Amino acid sequence: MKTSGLSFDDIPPLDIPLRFHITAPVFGLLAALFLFWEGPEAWMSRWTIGSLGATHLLTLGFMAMVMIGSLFQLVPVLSGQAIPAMRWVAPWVHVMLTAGVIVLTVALVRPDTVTFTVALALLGFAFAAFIPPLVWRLVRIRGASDAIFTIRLAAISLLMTVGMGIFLSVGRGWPDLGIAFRSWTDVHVLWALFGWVPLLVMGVSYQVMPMFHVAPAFDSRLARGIPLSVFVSLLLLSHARSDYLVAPIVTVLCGALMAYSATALRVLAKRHRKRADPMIGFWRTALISLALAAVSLWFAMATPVRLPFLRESGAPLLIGILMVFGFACSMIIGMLQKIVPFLIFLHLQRRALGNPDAMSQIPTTNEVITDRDAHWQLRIHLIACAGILAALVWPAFARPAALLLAADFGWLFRNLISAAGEYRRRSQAIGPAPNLMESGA
Amino acid sequence: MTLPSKPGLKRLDAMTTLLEFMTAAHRRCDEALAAAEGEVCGKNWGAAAQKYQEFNAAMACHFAQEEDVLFPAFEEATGMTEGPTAVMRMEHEQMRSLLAQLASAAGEQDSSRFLGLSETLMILIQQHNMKEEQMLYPMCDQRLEEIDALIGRIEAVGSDSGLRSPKPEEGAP
Ligand SMILES: [Fe+2]
Ligand SMILES: [Fe+2]
Repeated sequence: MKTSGLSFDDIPPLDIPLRFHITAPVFGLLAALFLFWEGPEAWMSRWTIGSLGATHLLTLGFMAMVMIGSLFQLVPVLSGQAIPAMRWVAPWVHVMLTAGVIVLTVALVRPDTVTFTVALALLGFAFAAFIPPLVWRLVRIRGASDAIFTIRLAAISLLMTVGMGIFLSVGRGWPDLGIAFRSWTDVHVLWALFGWVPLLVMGVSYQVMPMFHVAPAFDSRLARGIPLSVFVSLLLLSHARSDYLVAPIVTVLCGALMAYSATALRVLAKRHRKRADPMIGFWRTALISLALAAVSLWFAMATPVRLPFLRESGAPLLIGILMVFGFACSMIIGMLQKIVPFLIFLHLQRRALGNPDAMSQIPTTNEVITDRDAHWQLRIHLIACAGILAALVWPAFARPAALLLAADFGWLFRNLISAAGEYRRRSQAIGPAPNLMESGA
Repeated sequence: MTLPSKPGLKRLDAMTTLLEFMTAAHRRCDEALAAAEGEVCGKNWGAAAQKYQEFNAAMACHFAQEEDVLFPAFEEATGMTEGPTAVMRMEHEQMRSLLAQLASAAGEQDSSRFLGLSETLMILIQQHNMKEEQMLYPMCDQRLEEIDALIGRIEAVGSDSGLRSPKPEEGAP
């Protein structure tokens, strides 16, 4: 076991994670504007410019933005090793990712080779600069806990998603190559939505639910069996070409996702920490969305039955909305209300250590984002979820739904900006850092 | 520990790695914090003060076990005195500062202040525990000799004030 260079204290400067966290809701707002602009047209199928654009603004601009920012924060702390040149790399990753998402959206709206090349180059740089060092550390984190086992499967799924995404962009940018991109898109989407995203959430929940909510641990056989079933069925599904094979594999996949949802809801119900915490509401929203998405996926892929209320092309949209917005965004929006205030507290407290006068200036996390504001976030988010599902059934509701989406991300942006303002005010009151622990790199 | 086991079989006992022993202590502290919060939420200030005391005692005991026994043993075995243990000690200081503020919030029966502080402390504790459970304790299990004796010395510092699961003679099921 390597111990040299183990510092335990590579807390990155606050501006590194925060620049990602604060940019993310802006892309959420852009997705909402985009949907508003396109109106009912966007909801006709998942191949419309509106839905393609909004999907990538949400998955890359919002989800990946928050995940990368959090990994820059978490990985050095959990692995005990600094990311080389992080202070230099992180701002560049942020700029490239931001520019890349914008250019990709433009490229999806008016496809041409040059725009796609630029988007690919920018996103390629952003991901190439962050994925290898971070994933490498993630994989090497000691221990064989259920959480780490699952997060490793998630990391492999991410590689599949990104690899296939690059392949597809090449196909779209250079149509002469004749890549069959609808069928490959299915594989890309399956690994992204049903591999990377739920596996990462599973791994995180194994660790986070027992610790932060004082809940019982997940049963270890389920905690490994479920992600393994998900991963193996995705592998099989990527190659299965006949319906006879697809139906049973999809049944296993959906069964595993439902089993996770049920198990996690039961673990939450058994938590010993009973205080009113908006995060519980975000967890439940996410887990119920996951279960609904699994049921919809099963109907769409394993049965000839058509889902009620929906148009022919509606099922993939429903599944995508439930997974991206109902599942992943719920988790991320909820967690941001916890992570950002905590990071602000952590940095302020470290600066004030050994200075009794300054200690009174340190806010608790609930003073940085109040419980009231966080509860409002949950309410707005639930209304936005309902609004978007309604737009799927009644196209006339498309524009109001886009406005609800804008309200959701707008409120998140407001909470994060006011948290950053609170940090600035308090840190001025505390005075300059003593440079005990935050210095050096 | 509470199971009657032959000395030779002790390493096979589920509770004998340092990681498992100390992780169980972390979970008992978490339970104690949750119990205190529960009373504060219900504004049962008498019970809340009592539960807060139990939680505070459990934390103080755990800090002492680490700072007085485990960390010195780690520092001696690895020669790293400015490394992980220095950071862990600093984080204990951060937690002690919040524990003191919690005590005054409990004394003033200020529930929103108490719950704000306890939420902050909870996150601080968990990110600290994660580092210990992911890194420090597994390193101790690998690098330190005679873990059983070490656990014995840790237990001698004091049990965390009755939060430990009851001994068989006290009528455990
Ligand atoms: Fe500790
Ligand atoms: Fe500890």
